[in-house]
Amino acid sequence: MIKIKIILPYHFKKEYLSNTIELNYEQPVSIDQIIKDSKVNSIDVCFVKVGDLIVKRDYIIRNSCDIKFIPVVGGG
Amino acid sequence: MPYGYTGNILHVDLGSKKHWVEHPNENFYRTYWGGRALALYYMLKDMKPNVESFSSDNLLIFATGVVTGTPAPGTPRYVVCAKSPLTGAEGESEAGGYWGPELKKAGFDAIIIKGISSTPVYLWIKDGKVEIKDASHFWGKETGIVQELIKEELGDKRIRIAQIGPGGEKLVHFANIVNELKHYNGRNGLGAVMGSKKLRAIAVRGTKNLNIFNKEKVKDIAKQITKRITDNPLSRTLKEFGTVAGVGPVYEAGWLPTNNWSDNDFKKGENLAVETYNKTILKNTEGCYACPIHCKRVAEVNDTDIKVDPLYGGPEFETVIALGSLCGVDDLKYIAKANELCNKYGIDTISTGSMIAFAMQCYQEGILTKKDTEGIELTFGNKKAMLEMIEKIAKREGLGVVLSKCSTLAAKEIGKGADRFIHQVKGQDVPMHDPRVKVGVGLQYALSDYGADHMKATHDQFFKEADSPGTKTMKGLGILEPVSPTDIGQKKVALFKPLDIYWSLLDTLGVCDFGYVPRSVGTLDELLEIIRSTTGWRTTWFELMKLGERSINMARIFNIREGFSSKDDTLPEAFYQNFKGGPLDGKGAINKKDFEKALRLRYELMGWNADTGIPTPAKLLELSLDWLIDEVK
Repeated sequence: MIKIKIILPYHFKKEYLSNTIELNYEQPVSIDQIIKDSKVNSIDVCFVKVGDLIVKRDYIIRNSCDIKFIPVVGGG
Repeated sequence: MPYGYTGNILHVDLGSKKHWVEHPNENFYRTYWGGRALALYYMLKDMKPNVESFSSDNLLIFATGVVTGTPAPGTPRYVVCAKSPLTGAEGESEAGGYWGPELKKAGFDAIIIKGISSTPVYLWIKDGKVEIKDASHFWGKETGIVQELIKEELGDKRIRIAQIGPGGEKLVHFANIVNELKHYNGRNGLGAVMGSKKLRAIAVRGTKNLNIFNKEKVKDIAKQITKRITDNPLSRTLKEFGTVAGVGPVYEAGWLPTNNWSDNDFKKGENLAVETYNKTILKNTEGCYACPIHCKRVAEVNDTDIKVDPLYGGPEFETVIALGSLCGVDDLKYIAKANELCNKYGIDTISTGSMIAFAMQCYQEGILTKKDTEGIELTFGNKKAMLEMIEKIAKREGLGVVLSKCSTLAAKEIGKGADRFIHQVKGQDVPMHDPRVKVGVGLQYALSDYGADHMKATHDQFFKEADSPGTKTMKGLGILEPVSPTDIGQKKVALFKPLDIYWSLLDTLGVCDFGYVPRSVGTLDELLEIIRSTTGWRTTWFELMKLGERSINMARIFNIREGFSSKDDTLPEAFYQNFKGGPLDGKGAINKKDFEKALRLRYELMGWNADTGIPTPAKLLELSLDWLIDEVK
């Protein structure tokens, strides 16, 4: 069993009314699939961090871990 | 008079104290429309090349756009243009707020100011009447005080005031112009141009309705957009959290500009994030004329050791970083205080933060000493020293005299290799977006006629994935595929051409990018319909994009006349180096050759000479700018 704990930092917390989402998988899974399963709007996610590593959406998670969804960066 | 306009352009000569009104015909309006294109028309037509920024011949132009002041969201904006004392190039800065719409209600589309008054004055414009009034009693006073005094003197609380502060009076090269104390023509030192003319303020009051072709239609579109604000992640974030929402993710991504760009891994970045902001300094939110998004923050602090006056708004993304991590400061209360001081004195927060961070690095490297700083321990992270330096810069005292100039000049005066620590394009310090993670923004920094500016086009991350906001919403302009933010190949260059033109268009029409795609909720179709319903013209995106391109070419020609060339389209050396530390450690360096290749390709795509970056006569003809062909021969 691969246990994924998704951390929703910054203003995500308020938007999704939770700090974390937990998902379980039997097999390795892509970041893209995790975003879909989390029900977080994919447009809201600017990038994803696994530990200190920023990963692409086709990155495959093979072991239990914490991942962070980082919201779209503003500016101006 | 075409719909959407007043049909009146006010000319003021402060030297002779005369003013007159011009009534351009419909063809003029349909060629130059307003905003930056209209301003550039007068700069190219009525200014000789190489006038001094502080001379009487420099024109200071305030120009609204055709949709400025309509009921549509994100349409409060106006531009101020002049030759910039900071860059020596085309100076330009847009602001929102309330002043632009009020100017149109008072009967004018634009104001063209020349000459220098012998004594301090302010302009008072009410319902078509213009007075040049004495401002000697306001000179030297902070912006908040002058705002109140002018309203008292004129006896009307509903007057809208655009003004400079003491920084502009003292010709700080990055002095700004503020309206209603919270909305800034922040960059390029246009406040110093206003100060050089001894023009402290322009007060406007209008009671006329705007002449809109189909007001009900514009109102209807405004309602539709407003209903969707909370469904759209970008407009929802802007409304609920403001631009500061971006600070945390930037820290998390590992590119928070730190210690004068010498570092990117600010360990205390969470202290600057929106959660801390909301807990420690946020008082309330505010917006601009007719805009339901309300992206502005207002800060207040009432601690025993530090107080921040909410009258001057609150720091936004750029300010939180420029007066925060860039100076090694992680205390939002001090950053809010720094913001308040800059706004009281009327100086740009990005350039002020950049100059202080530069001085801090010079101090740490031994280039500046305690003797130079008059005893101030000017180390990164010294928040009290940062506040002291703002006072010195705004008042041009001590080390502040040098630091009140363009960073290139300041580094030259300091000497001892200080120029290694400046980060500017065409003399303007780079904003707080690292081009190593947004190469398209880097291209725009390099190409920008008014120096490095983060508002020259949208940002790469909006086109990162197939479902990214920009890729989904900009198909109407031919943008169909995502491109990686760090890509610097042909696709990226091709992507940023229409984006640059679109942004230039927004600055010509008076539209805020926080209201419309790709950065927000209003669609391309809705924006087009707003313009059509305002003007009655059955315009198309073809015509509008040509307008955006026209204004880019006009600015380019203005700079060519001033002696700028493709050699000035550069990036600071720091961005050709890898990041150090954090998640991006050892990565990120932009390849200089690839970047130069990208610039050449962009010139070609624009119809410019690939070597010189000069617009070809054929391109100028295509854009109805044949009257400028002699300028490029």
